[in-house]
Amino acid sequence: MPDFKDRNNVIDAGGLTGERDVITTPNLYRWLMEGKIFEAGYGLEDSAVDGEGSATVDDTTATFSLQAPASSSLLVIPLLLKLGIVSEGGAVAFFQLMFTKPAGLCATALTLSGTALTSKHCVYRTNPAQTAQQATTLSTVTVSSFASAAADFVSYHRGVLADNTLTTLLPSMGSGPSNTHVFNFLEDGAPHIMTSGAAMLFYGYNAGGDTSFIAYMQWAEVTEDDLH
Amino acid sequence: MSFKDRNNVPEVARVTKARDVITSPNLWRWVMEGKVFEAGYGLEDSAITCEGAVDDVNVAYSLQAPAGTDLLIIPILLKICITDDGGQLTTFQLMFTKPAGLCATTLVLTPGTALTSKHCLYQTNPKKAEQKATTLSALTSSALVAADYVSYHRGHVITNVLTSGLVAMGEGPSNVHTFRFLKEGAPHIMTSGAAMLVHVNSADTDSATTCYMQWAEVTEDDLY
Repeated sequence: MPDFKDRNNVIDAGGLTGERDVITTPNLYRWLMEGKIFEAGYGLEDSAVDGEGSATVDDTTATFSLQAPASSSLLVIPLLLKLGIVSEGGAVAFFQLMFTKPAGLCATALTLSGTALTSKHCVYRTNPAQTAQQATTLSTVTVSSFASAAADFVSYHRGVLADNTLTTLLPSMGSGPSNTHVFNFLEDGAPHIMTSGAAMLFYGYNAGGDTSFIAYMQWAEVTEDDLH
Repeated sequence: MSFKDRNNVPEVARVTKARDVITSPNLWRWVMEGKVFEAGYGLEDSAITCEGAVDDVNVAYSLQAPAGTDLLIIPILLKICITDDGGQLTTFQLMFTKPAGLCATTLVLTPGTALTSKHCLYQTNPKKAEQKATTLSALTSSALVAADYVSYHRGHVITNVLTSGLVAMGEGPSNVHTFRFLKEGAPHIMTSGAAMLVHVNSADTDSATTCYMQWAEVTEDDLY
């Protein structure tokens, strides 16, 4: 049995530097080249999405969602999520990022409906285009009621923003105060692997009612064989 | 023999005395093979004045993959530096387009000014090959619709950020925003005229920026 084969199943040697260090390539590049990584978000001049105008969060009204297809063997892995506040509203703003169980394992089977994000792409830009994504990305999402909410999902992040964040918080460039929150899931512990209708849900809410958000999300659609 | 060096000579892999395999990231190989490039400005160059309002056809900076090759262009690093904040809130957006021919109207980028400070990161004499990707500033784009591209980042910067923003060195508030694409999700791979576009706008058009960008030009064989 040879030790290595290339993507065409041809036997080949591994690569070394002149000092015999083994040269390695992360599997993320293979996923990219095989058209397994996707993104969704907004165009340059698109309007932002209003969060909920309430100081009390409601599990049935999410701002954005990413959901694994219900009936395939695909594993959907969120890689990156950027949430930008475009209009700050008139009170303290809150946001939460949730990860649910698979749809059928929620106390009431999870269903989502809303507005499909139209700016969706494979991250490997080719002409002709790579195969389209199978996960669903929505904004202004209506979520089926969580009959036993806490057991159906978990809050990954619960953020609170000061009133008038775009002015009084002095957002700038760099890693100081910002209007954008970045979830870099591959660098932030272990990423979630979502199957069978499991979803990532973002909730933004503000008693002032005017807070609006845009989102950029990136995820992988792989199979079990890609991972272990 | 399971391994070969860059000269195709069979060789054994290096391990530590505790038998850990010593590895070298593929990025070093790309750099040594002259496949990683940079573009930006010289020390005394003037910054680019931004737009008064966001408009898809007015672009501050671009990096575009060549249309007629099998090269893969991978943005690695982008720094956008505000050097004059004008008198109003500034907004900046980073966009990634489809390949040119897949946009609703075929994407065409019109200079503008080509960035003149362009280099291979492996500085040799004689120098390595020239880059094939195009880098422009103060350019015009053909019209785009939302499905043609995606906003990777939409940043808002307060009025008078260089004074009231308390910008400093280090990791605090800054006049410089850095995108490290290899460490932030997955990097984009651009072919066939696909482009990375930076838009900057402020109601006061005196806001001005410079940029620094770094990218790789590789082939499919380099990646998998």
